[in-house]
Amino acid sequence: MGLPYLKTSAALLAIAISATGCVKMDGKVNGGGTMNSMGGAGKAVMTFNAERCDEQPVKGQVNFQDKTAIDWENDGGVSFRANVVQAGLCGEDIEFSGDAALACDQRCGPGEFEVTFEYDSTNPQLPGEGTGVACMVDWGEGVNASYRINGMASISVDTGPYSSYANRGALSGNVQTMECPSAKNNKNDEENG
Amino acid sequence: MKLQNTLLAAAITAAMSAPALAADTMRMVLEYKPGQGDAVKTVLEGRGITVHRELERFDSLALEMTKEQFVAMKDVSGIVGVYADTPREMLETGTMGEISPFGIAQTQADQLNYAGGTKVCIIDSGYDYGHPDLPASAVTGEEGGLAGPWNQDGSGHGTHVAGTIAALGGNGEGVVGVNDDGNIQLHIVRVFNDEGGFAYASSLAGAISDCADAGANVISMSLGGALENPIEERAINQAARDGVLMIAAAGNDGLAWHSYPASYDAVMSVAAVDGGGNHASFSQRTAQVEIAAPGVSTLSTVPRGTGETGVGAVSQNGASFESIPMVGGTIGTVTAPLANCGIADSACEDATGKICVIERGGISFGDKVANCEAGGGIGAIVYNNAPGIFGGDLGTTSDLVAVSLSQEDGEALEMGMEATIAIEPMADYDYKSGTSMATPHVSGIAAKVWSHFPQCSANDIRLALRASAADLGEPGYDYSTGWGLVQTKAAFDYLAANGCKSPNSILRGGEGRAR
Repeated sequence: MGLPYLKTSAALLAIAISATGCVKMDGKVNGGGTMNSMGGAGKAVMTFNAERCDEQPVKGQVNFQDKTAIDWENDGGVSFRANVVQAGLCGEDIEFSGDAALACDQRCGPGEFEVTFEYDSTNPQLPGEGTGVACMVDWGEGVNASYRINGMASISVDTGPYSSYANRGALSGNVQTMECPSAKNNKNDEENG
Repeated sequence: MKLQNTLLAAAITAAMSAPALAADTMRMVLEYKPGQGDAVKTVLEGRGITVHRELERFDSLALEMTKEQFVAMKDVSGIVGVYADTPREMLETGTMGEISPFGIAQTQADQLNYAGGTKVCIIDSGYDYGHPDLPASAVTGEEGGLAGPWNQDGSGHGTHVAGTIAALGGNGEGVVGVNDDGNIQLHIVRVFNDEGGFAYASSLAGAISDCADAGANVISMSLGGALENPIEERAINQAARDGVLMIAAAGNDGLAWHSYPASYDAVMSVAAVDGGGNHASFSQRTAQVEIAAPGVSTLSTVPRGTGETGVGAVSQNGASFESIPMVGGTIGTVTAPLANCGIADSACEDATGKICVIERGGISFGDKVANCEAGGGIGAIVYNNAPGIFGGDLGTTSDLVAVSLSQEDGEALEMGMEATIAIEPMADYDYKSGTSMATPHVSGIAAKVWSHFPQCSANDIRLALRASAADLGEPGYDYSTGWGLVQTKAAFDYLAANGCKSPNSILRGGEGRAR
């Protein structure tokens, strides 16, 4: 049998933070919700999905809006759609292969799902494209209705019209990290003896 | 921009990792179903989970557990929810060298007496009870705190905060606080231990309840951290409904980030400014920043025997000027004629046996003082190139007595005439900077103003402080300094003219606009 959702995410978390180094491991993340604005009075809204699985190309999308970010609000705020170019669950103590694409960015710590993205601004007042990194933490909210556990997210933009935007907060919606299909299959095989 | 992004990255990592993700155990808050607290606690303790605090008022427990215990907790009945406990830390940036009394005048605290009857609760690292410059008779504290005795302070942060609120005047020593007659009532709740590390949101929630139960009118919180937290917000909203005015530090990251508890609506978020009213570079900018107060190199009390910087003084022709010791300078006294050294970007000419007077700017403080010494100078005064006073660090040690002065005082000195500069050791006092130091100015002033209008509500006092603040920076409200510099007498005058007529609901923070 598969782990209940809470157990699955906790197991992923436990694996990620029991290891050393800070290397991206296979996994999937999806979710969305609101978090505090970057210094502003409103809320930032985000949705995201990303996966690094089974040697397939990394894929996913990020949508993000923070209309009241205080350094951009007079220009219509921060708003972009992005494609995920790198992703993975950051874990420590993993033997590093030397593949730079597997090294976690310093912004994401162990136990966080790192997503590197390339965005296109959707704010016509601030057109352009750029890059950034988001880190998501799954505290298990979602399937397990008896627990009211928030996820956490941080997002920082390196280039483009929103360069230097950086924000972090508790996510009121949901963050779900999941194992890849192959990991589930392996587990089922083991459990079936 | 690269450096900025690197700094941001480091801060983000610290903030995100703070809830013990990478530790062996995690700090969590558990909310139980009403009436089932004892049963849940018994089960959890039976499984080896540590219960740090029972928060009966919020049907909650503050817990510490391993990841495995967290996963296994799923089968415990009577649980409503579990969420991460979030760290809160003291918001000082370290010592820099500046003086508090300028803050007393800057906020008009010396223009209004304390009329009695109000109580400030300080949630911090404790209180050096018995300090000769701090009140004792009207001071109480919360017993049994896990961080240590309330009447001791191994960190020094809480004693510094308390001195800004209540250091005694008229005793011929040390400093004066916003309320200096010894009659202000204080209640101390200690949440930081001697190492001064993290407290948790659950600790703060309990501390806020303790303050309210002790009859506090004002709660002063020179602390904060990333990520809002449900139990903390519930405690704050409850205290607000109970009529308590809460004041907290805006944060020292220097970024446009919310810090909690300051960024909850029910809390006044306090920014830091220097002696010239300039926004401190470390003070966080947010839409919740509501008011500003002096918080750069603030001189106040520290636990006896722990002061390190010394206190500076400059005098000439019978006039004395507030000055700040340069960090790295030598303790001592020098009397000599003054020599004008400009900005001292080379060895001072005609400075042999004299005190160099140097304008700020161009090169480092260390190089300026070195150039004074190279020219034969025996002491150095560096005065500001903008209004107000400042603190400086030589970046090294110097054999010279070196102090800083405000631009106004520096320009008032007469070159060629004899003057005296001194750095005197004062083991019971020190300088600290941070929004932590700005916060107690506002807390003390709120209690002082409120003492004259006991019929007013917390909202009345809060709105009066906003309305009477001296505008700084951009005209009107701004994210750096809120409504401006807190003003004691102006707030009194505002209430005397307008009375107490604010709504009872929880106000919006910052500018106060609806979202």
